[in-house]
Amino acid sequence: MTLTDPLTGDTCRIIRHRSGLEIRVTELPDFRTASAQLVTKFGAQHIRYRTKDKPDIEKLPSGIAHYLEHKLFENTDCNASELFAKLGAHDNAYTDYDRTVYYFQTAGAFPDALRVLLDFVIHPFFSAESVERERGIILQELQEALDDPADVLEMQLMNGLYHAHPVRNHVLGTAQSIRQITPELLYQCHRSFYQLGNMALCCAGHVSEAEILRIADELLPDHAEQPVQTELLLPEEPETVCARHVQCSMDVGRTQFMIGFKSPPADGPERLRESLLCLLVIELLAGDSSPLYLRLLDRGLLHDTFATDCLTGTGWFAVTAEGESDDPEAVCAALCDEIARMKAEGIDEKRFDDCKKAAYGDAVLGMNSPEAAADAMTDAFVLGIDTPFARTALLAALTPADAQDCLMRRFDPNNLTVSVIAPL
Amino acid sequence: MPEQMIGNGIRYTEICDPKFRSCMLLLRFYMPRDAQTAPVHALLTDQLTASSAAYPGLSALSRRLDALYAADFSGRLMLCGDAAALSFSASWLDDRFALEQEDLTGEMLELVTGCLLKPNLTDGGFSEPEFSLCRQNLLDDIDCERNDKRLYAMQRAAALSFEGEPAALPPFGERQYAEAITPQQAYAVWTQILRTAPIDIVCILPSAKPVRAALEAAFSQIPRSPVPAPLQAVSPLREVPQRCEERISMNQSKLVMTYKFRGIAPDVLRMLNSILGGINNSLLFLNVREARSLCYYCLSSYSLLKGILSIDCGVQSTDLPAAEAAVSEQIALLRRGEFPESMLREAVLDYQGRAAVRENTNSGTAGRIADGQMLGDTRSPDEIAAAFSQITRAQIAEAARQLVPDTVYILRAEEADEP
Repeated sequence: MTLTDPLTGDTCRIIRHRSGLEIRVTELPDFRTASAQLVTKFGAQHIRYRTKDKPDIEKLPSGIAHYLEHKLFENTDCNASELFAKLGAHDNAYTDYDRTVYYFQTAGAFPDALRVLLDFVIHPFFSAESVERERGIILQELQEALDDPADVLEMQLMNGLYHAHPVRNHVLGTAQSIRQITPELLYQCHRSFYQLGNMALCCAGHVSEAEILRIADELLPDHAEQPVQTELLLPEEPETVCARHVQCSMDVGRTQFMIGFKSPPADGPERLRESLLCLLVIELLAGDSSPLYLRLLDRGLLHDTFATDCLTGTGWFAVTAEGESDDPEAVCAALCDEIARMKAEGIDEKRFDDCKKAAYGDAVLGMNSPEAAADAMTDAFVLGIDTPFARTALLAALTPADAQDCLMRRFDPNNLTVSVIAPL
Repeated sequence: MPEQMIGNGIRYTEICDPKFRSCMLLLRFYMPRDAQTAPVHALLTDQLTASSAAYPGLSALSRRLDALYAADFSGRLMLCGDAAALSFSASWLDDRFALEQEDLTGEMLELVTGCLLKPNLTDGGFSEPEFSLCRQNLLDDIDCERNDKRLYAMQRAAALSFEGEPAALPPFGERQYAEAITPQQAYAVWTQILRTAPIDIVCILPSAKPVRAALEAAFSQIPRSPVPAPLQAVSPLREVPQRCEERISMNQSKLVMTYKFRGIAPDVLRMLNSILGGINNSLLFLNVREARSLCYYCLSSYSLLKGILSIDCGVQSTDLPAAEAAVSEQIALLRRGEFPESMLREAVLDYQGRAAVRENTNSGTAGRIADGQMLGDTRSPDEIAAAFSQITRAQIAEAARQLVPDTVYILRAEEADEP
């Protein structure tokens, strides 16, 4: 399948390899580097699942996807990073709630680096000793995260918004759950979620589709294995928030807050469209060109930066606004007043057009490097859509009426959480 | 490199690269800093990007940037040696993508030069309420310096290592001086900078546009008498290393160790840093993190301008002595030249790879050019890589022997940090 962005002329080729792996390629020959990402739809939210052939519910310690990400780098005789380093490729990986992504960038050794990537992710090797050694490193990573106010603020917000969804757990897990992870559990996760049919290879930049396919043929099985069909089991999640206000104290200079509006989840292309709409609406409500933002600054209620976002995944959807204020509840009240006003008076069409233009500008630049293009293809794969170019077309079709509708559906002042970190 | 002077002390470099879909303009002003001016410099990066005479008030400029397809104009403060650089960057979509055929380049040049050269003024100072808000933001930044514990530990170690030097001042300056800044004082500092700062401008464009002429015309209105900034300000060596420990309520302790040096060739120092703690498989990564599980990160960094190499890591309090000993062991290995020969090649490849990735964005390309001009090193990445590949194990070992221990700084987690 070939998809083309009418605006920029970029193309994305999608090939289903005979091994079951989906391969997505955007050739950008003007760039000197190449970027490759190998993604599996297995992330921090996968802590309860069932396979088709076994009726029992499998339970995993939180943080296991991230632990597996760390451990896969270890081969029988060396660390995959050492192999990348010998090739001059820069490798890394990250775990999110819905995915784990392994990637590299390179200026001159793409074929060999791709071989390393495919090999270490697909062929696990864990010894009890190496799994134990990694535990200390991951516990230190967790300690660092627990000292990061931004991390704590968001985690605390998710615990206020959600009663049971695994997004309540830190991606790294807890010290207790990390201690429960064994080589056997890691192998079990790999068997269940690292099947090629659950994964995609996204390559962009100075790459050749033919070369990528040749390497895939060389290293991957010549047929798709019978998939271990896994079903993610999410707990029943009420529509209402778990707590209206959540708070802790840390060594921070000023009070920090994050407000989150909970609303029903969305999947596939609908999630993308709803996210774009929510980002437009929160920008209209509280962005740095909004009247509300000015009023908050004027009244001394806001300090420094005020950032808005839309955070979403399978089974969860939240629009957020965060910043620093001595009175977060007053900021929240002002935001709710503005929501009520905009619901009653409607969306300002001129500002809607300007915000839409800004979103369009971001979308055009979204594929302007090998790394960005690979990111966009990975996002699309995890979302379950083909095209990485959907944003510009979706944006073009959005109207003020769509934004008004989104405002009514997703910004409920009675369904929000205020997460606060107060100075000690 | 196509660089030219477009005014007294104003260096302009323009690169056209059709792979980009946006334009990038980077302007750096270099000046000395002291306790009084340090917070003013930090304030100016905010003040000058918040409004202008053409876009007064707090939201007018933001709305204009939104309407220009998410164009961006922002400022940041850089500390370079004993000097400061006010760095302003503007980026905007290439004109060919404008939906209504707007002249985005012309609009942005007017906006940027307006903000910098025709700010919103009242009674000889920056106008309210923007000034008070920017000053409040600065005070917040000063109050929040401890939020990022890793950065805070690095800053404290720098303050101790550079005691008595301008580089010891905190990045945002000291609160007492920040509180005292007036709109008139801030504007006076800015006019002084406009008159005296050496200025580097780098522009990266998808295709040729009349940027140089517009900037030349705008800056020609300013009477200029440039004064060199104290960029190269090597810090004195310490006869007896110092130790300092502070406590803070947090989960993970931080360890920073600094070493000063004299007479190490810049390329050798950069290779040494890569092997010690810069590349993915550095000595610190392999021997402190991977082999002993002491930490999640353990990295090294350096400043050629100050003559210092720093190592920092986050560790459990009980492991602080082991981590310090392990870091010292890696320095000892370097001094004895005991590291795999392959690391030399990997360090060169690492540099080549990073340099190539940096060129994937126009901001990366502009930053690379501006950094090179600041350091007086205008070699291309390929030329630098070729020079790196000539460096030998013996040179690295000899350089490592020039490292003089300076400061061990520990930011200890006050609470029990057993995870």
